[in-house]
Amino acid sequence: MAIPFSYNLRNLVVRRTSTMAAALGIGLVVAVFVLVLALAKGFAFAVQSTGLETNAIVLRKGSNAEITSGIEREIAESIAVRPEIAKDESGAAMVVAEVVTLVVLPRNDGADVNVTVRGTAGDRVLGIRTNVRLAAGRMFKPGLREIVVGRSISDRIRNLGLGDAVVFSRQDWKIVGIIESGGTGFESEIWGDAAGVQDAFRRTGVFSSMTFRLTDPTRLAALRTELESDPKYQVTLKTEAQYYADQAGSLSALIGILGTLITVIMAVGAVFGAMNTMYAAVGARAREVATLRALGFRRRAVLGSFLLESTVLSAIGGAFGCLLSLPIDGITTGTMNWDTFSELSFAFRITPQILGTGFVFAIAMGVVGGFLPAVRAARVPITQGLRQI
Amino acid sequence: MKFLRFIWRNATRNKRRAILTVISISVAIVTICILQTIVVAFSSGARASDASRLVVRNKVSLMLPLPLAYQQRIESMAGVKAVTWWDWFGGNYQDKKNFFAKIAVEAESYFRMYPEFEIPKDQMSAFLADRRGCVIGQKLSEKFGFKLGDTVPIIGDIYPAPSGDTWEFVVKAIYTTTKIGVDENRMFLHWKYLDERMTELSRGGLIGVYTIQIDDPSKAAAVAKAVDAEFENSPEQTLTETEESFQMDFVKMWGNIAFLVRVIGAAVVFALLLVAANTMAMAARERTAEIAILKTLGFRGALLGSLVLAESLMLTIVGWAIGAGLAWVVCLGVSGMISRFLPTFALTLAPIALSLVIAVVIGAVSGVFPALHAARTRIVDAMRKVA
Repeated sequence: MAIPFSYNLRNLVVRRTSTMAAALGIGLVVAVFVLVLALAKGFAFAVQSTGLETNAIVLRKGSNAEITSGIEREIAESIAVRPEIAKDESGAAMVVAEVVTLVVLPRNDGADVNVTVRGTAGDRVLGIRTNVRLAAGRMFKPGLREIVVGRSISDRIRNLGLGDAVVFSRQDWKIVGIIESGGTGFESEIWGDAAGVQDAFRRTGVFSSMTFRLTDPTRLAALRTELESDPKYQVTLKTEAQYYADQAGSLSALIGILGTLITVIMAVGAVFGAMNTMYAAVGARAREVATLRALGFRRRAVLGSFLLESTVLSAIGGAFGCLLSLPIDGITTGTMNWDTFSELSFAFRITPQILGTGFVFAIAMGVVGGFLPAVRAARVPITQGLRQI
Repeated sequence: MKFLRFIWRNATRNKRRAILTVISISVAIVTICILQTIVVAFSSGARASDASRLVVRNKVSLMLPLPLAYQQRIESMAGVKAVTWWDWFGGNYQDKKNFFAKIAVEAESYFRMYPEFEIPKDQMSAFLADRRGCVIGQKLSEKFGFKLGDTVPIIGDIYPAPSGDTWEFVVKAIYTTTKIGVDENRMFLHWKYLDERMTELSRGGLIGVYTIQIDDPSKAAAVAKAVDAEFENSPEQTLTETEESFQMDFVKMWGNIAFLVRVIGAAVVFALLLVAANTMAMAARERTAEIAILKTLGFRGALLGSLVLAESLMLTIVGWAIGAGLAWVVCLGVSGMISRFLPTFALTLAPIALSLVIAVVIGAVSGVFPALHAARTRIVDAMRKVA
């Protein structure tokens, strides 16, 4: 017969100080764990959801990022007429040759950060990047030194609101619109007209990349083989989705390595903490346990009861940790994405799955930490236990 | 000192509890050491900088080059002792996962201005004599097994290779360093060689950044201002700052990440405090009767209180010693994994010292209440108590 569950609950309540301390310890570990996962998730989301499967991107052979890539105008023109590129209703090819560069701007906290400036084609780009939309104002017009800025960068960089102006190479560029893209990387960019940006940044005649809509995504493989093997082009092709997935590499790996390391270490600490609490509980209740055994409860029942108690303790901790971490959901932060060498804003994303993982992690700590003390409890010799004061 | 044995016996009377407490403390010390090492590694470039060096970059951003023609104008300015220039070469060795910094430098003046890269004389002359030569750091040479005379292929990205996709550089010298915070994972190549190739593509005569050595570090701000004023009306405006501030720009770009690391560190310390305080409280409660007996024998409350406090400190300090040792092992193991992000990741004395302070504080805070309790226990109350 099992020992009633209320016995465990009441015990936890009676020893509330040490219950709270142990649960708080586990809770903090879980909160840190969730925080790290949410950070990794938010960063990966911002980068990876930037690219679309239906689009392809062309870079110079050997380049992994637009910032280090270069495509001569003649090459771009000869690629732009390929039949694999989809056409819009008016019959124009859905392709943009873009120039990507960086400008140093002050973040709200005062740090100077690199912001990506993308010179593109205002009339076509939203048709190709269907995940970007104009949220306020209007699109920039060619030849007028106008730009649109991403929502998150507009919030995080000083004087980057609608109607403000930014100085590129001693010229004022007026912000005429704000673009939104569901928190993706494009919201950390400034967009202007390709020719104007080339001129201002002295990149005339050279593009960084080309992005186009494929008539059919399955045709990419053949096109890639053809262009990559032709020495005239010296280019490499990927789907836009693949390109952005690759951009998350370095920082995701760093967060992954450090996050795992810290969480594992903290978990070991919390397990020992839980073990200590449970051993103390067992030690203090030797007489109680012996009484239970004298009443006829089996060793197995005692073991199960203590294990359950430790699990409940860790569940309280886990729930507390999850609650503690919830307020950071959606908080926007930003860091240097070393793959693009520019500021990337992203929001912490706590998903139910992450919370679930955190909770399971807490339970695991409780079970591991509670097992040895429970075994000890089950082994309390009845006669000695009863004699204990 | 005569009480040391008494404290030790008390601390270890419940061996399991003592071991568990010590382990949880050492685990937390490991975490603190690692986190602090990360924070230090983030800003190592700034700490390794020299107050007599200024960096001149394009005002718009690092992406834009400066003309080589600025060199002579800067050199002739008051307060300037020497000028060198360099450029971020980019490129990948086999795959972008094998990241390390590749920098094209004006070889002679650069290494004169950066004596922290220590290169044997004969190797230095061999490097200067070969325009396809390169200098690599000791750690880089160990990591990829590059030896003197080896050819290192680098796939060009910012700078397309002269033929095919790949630049080839011959290892002519290996540098070491004795200055803390200097990265030993770099590769230096001849800017001259790069410029020859760029001239073919009609993009010659451009450099990334100038570094200026000044006569008097206290005049850094004035010289920086003068340089920027000199090029105010030139096609490319400049931004001049101290090397430290140039490096700090990169540190600041990490933004909240460094802050997060600190928050996590604080959470660890707090969680640990709970564990230690809990243990000490349990240990002291068990002994109420015993303390009463000692008092009856004539021991003063203050002495008994300090003994409890000392016991707590002993546990945390033993935990600290084990933790610091573990941290050293872990940092050695991890540094290879993350050298491409934080090339100077290595445990230094500062985090160890900080963690000792934290250990002592935790020991003191968790011991102080049980100690007060012990000191104030009244004999009659305690003797009457059964457990």
